[in-house]
Amino acid sequence: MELEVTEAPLLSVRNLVKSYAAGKNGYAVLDDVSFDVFPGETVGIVGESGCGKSTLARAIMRLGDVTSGSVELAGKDLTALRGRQLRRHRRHFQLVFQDPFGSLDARMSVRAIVEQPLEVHGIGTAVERRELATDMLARLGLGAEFLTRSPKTLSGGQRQRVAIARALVLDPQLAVLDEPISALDVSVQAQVLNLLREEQRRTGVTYLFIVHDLSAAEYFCDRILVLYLGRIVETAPAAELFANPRHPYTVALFSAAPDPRRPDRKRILLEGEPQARRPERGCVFAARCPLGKDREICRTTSPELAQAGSPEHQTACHFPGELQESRALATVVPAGEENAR
Amino acid sequence: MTGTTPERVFAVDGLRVSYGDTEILRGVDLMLAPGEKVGVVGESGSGKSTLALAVLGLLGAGGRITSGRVSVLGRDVTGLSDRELDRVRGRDLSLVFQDPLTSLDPVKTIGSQIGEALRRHNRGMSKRDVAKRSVELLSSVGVSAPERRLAQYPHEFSGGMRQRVLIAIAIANDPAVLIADEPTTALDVTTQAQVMEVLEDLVASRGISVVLITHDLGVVAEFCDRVCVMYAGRIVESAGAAELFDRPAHPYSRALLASLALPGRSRSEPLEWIPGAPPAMTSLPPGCAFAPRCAMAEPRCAEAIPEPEAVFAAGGSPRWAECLRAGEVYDTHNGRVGADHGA
Repeated sequence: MELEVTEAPLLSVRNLVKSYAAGKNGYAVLDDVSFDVFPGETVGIVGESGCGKSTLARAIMRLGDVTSGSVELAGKDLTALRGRQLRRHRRHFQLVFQDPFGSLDARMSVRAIVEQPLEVHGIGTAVERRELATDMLARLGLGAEFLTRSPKTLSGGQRQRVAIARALVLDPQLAVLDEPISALDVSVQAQVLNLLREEQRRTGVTYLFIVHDLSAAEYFCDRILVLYLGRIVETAPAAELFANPRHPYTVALFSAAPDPRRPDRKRILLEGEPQARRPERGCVFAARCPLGKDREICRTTSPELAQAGSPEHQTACHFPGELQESRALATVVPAGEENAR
Repeated sequence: MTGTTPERVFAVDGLRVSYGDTEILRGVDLMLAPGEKVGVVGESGSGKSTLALAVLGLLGAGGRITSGRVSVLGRDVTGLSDRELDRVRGRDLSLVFQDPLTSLDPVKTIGSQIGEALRRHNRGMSKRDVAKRSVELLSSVGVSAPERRLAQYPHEFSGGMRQRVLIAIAIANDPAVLIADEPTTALDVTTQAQVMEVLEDLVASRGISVVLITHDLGVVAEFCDRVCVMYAGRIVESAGAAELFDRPAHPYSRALLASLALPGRSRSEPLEWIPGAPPAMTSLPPGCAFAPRCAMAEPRCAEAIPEPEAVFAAGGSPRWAECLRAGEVYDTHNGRVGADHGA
């Protein structure tokens, strides 16, 4: 991507730990998570249930406190903000929820729903707010005929577009998109992704995209973090990660995802399912790992994130790249040649 | 089970289902050969789950079959009483639901629930035989330490393991046909792969025919021999799975495939999507239900529901799509969906 290496990150998460219980019973759902997101970037967080991806979204959104670590947005530590300060600052980071049915007030009109955040943050006059909301909705394909309707009368895709309008109308620096398409039908998912991308081109908003649909992640994200039991096990630019996954969990995850183009390939099947808890020592994935199951080092020493491949590609594995799916139909797209296709 | 193997183990002919005055299924035809795996795909509201409930006689209050028939192993089951249906369900025709947590009884052990399914069709089965068969069933779906697991309750099982238990119950009496309604939708992708593998092995080793109802086109591509695409209560296209993904013949199938963020799709090209929303079943447009959203629609599309048009794949089997311009769609399919990457 067109990232400047010298650019300062917009979002900087450092050593983030989030536990849901204290003391002896304490268990960190997120364990020492650190990463950066640069302005205008779309970073995807992928992983299966229990990996902590929704907890991460909530922690960044300051829905509840974190146990330790910091979340800096444009140099400001969000975890240190309280009360009024926090509420004021919220216009810069907004959340789009997964469920477009539960997250909109059924008693309000579509326009009122989108005007409300502007009002809360004291932006513009009533006339200006109305205009901002109307324009925002129009860009998301919801014209004049929708303004006075109740969300009850809208389809899932239309509701999700209202929820997106409500988040983006504030012109935030960061929008956290928590599974924004997983409740929608396929034909509508595409429209929502297209519209999100158009808005990003227009405003330069940065997206953190929490997603379990791997093909959507590959299509939509610049960079991807793979989470397993509260730890980042691999991170790389999307094209590189999908072409050349290095962590055995990432390899198995990609291999398990059905691909209509390659119905006959041989899958790598993992044994078992993620446990509720990380092991006390060793690699978080060791118990299910085809490589690490019986290896001493994997069972005893937790691997650190380290460079694997390009400088932007990091993986936390003692044996990166050892597990491979035979990729007869490789989907490697060298950067820069994308537009030629 | 019957001694002879009929050509069609399962057939749905012109099935129409209404809830109150609203027609949800508007003439569905579906046929399964022994051992065949057919996928029924469609978006929410297309009627695919109603189809599952209707063929099993589980429509519930308000829903009724207004015409058409469903036959299993050559026998019409549409007119059967609940008692008679009970003898068919589980034995000839079985069902796996989407949500393994609500389909299992939380206060009964897994063993007693499998035992119940076995005894329903084998009254005199001894306790020892039930136990033995239950252990066999659980291990056939890949549950380890089955003797110990039989004494456990559903909450002691993970999501993937519960779904395996449901499959074990569904195949307990060696059904000829299995209807699987979104069997892996609630599961994570690595677990989904495990469960689909179990299902695939069972179906192959026992020769069970499967109707897989799902919204997930990827799962269909990997599991099914044939695909039926549903829209607004009708099957609008039916084709071999590989052929459909390679070259759809109905504009709806084509648009649906084009809207997928397929692995490896170039980021620079926006995804296609289908404008508008599926029609409300209470106010269907005249003629083809997809016409108002269809880029290829013509005035004549609104006149009547089109007769299926056959298209012929070079060297392949003939297929049909319910579209006046199916031949054209098929012939002009240029950007073969997602194919040709780096090959």
